[in-house]
Amino acid sequence: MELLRKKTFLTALIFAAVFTLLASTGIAANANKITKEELKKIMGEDTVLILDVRAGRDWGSSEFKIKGAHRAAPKDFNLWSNKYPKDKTLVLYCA
Amino acid sequence: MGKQVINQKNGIDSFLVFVFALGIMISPDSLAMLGIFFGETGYIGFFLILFSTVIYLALLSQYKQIFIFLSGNSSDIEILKTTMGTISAFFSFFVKMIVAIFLSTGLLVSSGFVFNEVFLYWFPNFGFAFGLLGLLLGLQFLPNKVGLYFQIGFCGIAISGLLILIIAGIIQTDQLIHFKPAGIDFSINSNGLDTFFLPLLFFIGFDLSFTVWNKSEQKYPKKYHILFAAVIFMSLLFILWGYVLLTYVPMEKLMNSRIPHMIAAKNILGDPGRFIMGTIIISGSLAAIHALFTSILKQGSMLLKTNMLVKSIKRPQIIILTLALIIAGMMVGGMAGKEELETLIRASLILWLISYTMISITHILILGRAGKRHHINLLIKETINVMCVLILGISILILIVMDDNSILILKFLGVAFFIGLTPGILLMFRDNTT
Repeated sequence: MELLRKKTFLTALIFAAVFTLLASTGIAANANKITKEELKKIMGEDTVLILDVRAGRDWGSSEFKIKGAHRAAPKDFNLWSNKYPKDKTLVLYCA
Repeated sequence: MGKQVINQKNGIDSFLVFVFALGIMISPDSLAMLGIFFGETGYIGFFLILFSTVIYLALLSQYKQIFIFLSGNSSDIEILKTTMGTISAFFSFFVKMIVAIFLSTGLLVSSGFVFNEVFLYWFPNFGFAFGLLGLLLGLQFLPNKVGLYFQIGFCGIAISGLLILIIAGIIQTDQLIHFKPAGIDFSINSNGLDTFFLPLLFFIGFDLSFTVWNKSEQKYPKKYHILFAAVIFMSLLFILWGYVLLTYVPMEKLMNSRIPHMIAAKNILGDPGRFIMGTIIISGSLAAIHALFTSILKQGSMLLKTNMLVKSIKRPQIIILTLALIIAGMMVGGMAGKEELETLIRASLILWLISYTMISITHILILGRAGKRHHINLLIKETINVMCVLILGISILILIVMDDNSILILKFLGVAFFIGLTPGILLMFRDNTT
């Protein structure tokens, strides 16, 4: 019985470890990506606009946003999609 | 010496009842709802919280009478099965599962953000959330006692943190530098009637404490006193915290933020305040989810014993493992980033409130079966019970209909009733045919 308990506890730990790793990698999406280092280099340039498109708890639970970022809620996409000039580089972040 | 040991054991048992009852009440979601609520109602909110406290004390009184009437049955599942049949018993279990899925997802995600933003910015927030889920899952596989002591730790840290912020907030009111105190102002910002009934959701989860009631102990009335104390204690804590919120954060900011508790903590003590609130959020989340998991585990084993769950489930821990997988799936699937999560959490809490109403109806049925209506005491009790059912029924209706996302809540409740009631109906047919 004790052995069985230890085995199930070990299984639970492995389960947690696997999911922790999975979560860290995130889910891939078909979009051009920019690393935080790349973003740091171009931040503050006139041609760059940073949009905060976080939603739900990603947005609600957070105290901070990237410096200079504009809030653009995904549910209001129709309201802001034409607001920003097309010739600028738009950087969107969602998490 | 022997008597001293027994007294010490009773003391710990009583404390366990207390900390399991407070599990969900002290969660960060309760604090968030409370902050928004005070932002909308201002100082009127104190009276509304007192009103909800009275309703819950009446509910607890009903639970106590039912338990004494059916002495020997130590869980709400058994009570429901005895009085209202298999359908209600299974439904009560289902409600906790639903709340565990949605509320836990939200709480874990919020804890991940807090850990990342307050403590270690380089640590992945989802990694932390999954780590917590792993810890909570692991605790269900360890000996029962270990989990109980962890619950004392989780709840104790969260309450102590909140008390520190309340005391600091009250002491230094005259040293406010960031904001002008709101003062005693009875204006309200709410434009919906549902806000007035929101405090009924703040006390949900007191019944999780039945998890730590021992069937062989015949001290139910004594333990009920602790439950009454738990509800009154939280009511006072909510009122004091509400006062601090209204003193340190403007009402408009409270009602428009989803982290009013964090803003208040920062305004009270600056960065140390954020650290304290960060600790409250993480330990409060752990207290709520651990209490839910432990309760589901105990109710699950009871359902297995009474053949109310499929036989292929060999151990009740499998239920918790499945639950954790669903929560993990919700997090990986990006539920945290969906606006609907907040509505679904609110809807699942309303579902729990509906199950309390069912208990209230049960009590009326029991008194009816007792057949001593001519007795004046029973008549008074029955009148209180009917009033309680009416108030709860009307409140639930208003909470659903007046909600901004009432259609989603109605759809959710429809699906929940269908899924939650079907197994019970099938089980009832099985029992009748055998």
